[in-house]
Amino acid sequence: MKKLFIFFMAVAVSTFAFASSETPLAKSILKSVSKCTVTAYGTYHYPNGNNVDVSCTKSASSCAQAQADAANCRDLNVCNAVRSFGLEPSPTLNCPKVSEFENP
Amino acid sequence: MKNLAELLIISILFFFPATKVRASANGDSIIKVTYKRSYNNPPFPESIGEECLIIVGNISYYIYGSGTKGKDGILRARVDQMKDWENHRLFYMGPMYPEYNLDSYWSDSLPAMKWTILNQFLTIKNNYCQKAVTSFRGRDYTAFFAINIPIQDGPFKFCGLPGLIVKISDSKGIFNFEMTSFEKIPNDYDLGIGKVYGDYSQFKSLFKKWHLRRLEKDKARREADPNCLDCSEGVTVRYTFIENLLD
Repeated sequence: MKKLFIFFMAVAVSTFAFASSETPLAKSILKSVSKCTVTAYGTYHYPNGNNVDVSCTKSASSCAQAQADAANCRDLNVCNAVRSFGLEPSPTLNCPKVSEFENP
Repeated sequence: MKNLAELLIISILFFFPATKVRASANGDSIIKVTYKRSYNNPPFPESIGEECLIIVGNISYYIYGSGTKGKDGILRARVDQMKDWENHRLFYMGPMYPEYNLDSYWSDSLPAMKWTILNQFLTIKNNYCQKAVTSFRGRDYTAFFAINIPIQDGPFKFCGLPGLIVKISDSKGIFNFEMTSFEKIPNDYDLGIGKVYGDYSQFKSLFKKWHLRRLEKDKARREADPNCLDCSEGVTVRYTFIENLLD
């Protein structure tokens, strides 16, 4: 009877220990898996019937951040391509000013 | 003195009609054809724009939007293509910054494509249209031209059919143009083109070199700063040309 009691106690203690150590471990794994990945697409039409298509895939710990990074990346690439034709991109693109931007 | 006054009156009478002629020529009605341009290349978003064909006698201008009115009431726009039907030449804008700016134009033949007219008909926006097909610089196109509008013109470089092109798309559905309105309007436009630097073959050769130089420069920039926001993996920049300019 005493041996049986010791066995059950051992099982109970080990279960608690496993559970308490498992919980934070699972959380940390979840954190790395829960990185949000977002792709932003953009198209810009320029003279003589030509187009530039841009896609940017960005990952971040929050989806809002990933969305902002992907959209920024897309707009910067479109700005770069449009300026390389000597065009000034439309204000809706929110391109950095030429002085802040690499001269195409 | 009397002779001088007579001379002055004769001079005024002589020049007055000339001024009138110019003014009325400016107010003559012209044809404005509006097209909806759509570029549809999934997964990229569809790009839709309004473009206009302005036909003034033997010359037509293809412009983005419908022009901007100045304080003087004159409409101005950057001309993408100009077709000179009298001299059978087409001129198009071909900027390659910084060597060639937006006022740089190149010449092309008019019409630049050969059509096969098919025995198929369709009514589009109350216009009785006939089908025609062509292959033009890397793409196959299907067009519908209005039999009831005997104008051999159309959007972009497309032209040379017995009627106005009402609708045209390439076989992949990437480039599409569709007429949305046809009207006669007073000529309030002041349109023209910049310097012409060469013909299509010269443009194509220069463009290929310029484009490759641009891609190399962009690659070098990305390699120099792999952590920049618009760099790193997952960034794709793709150029789609309506004409095959890189062969």
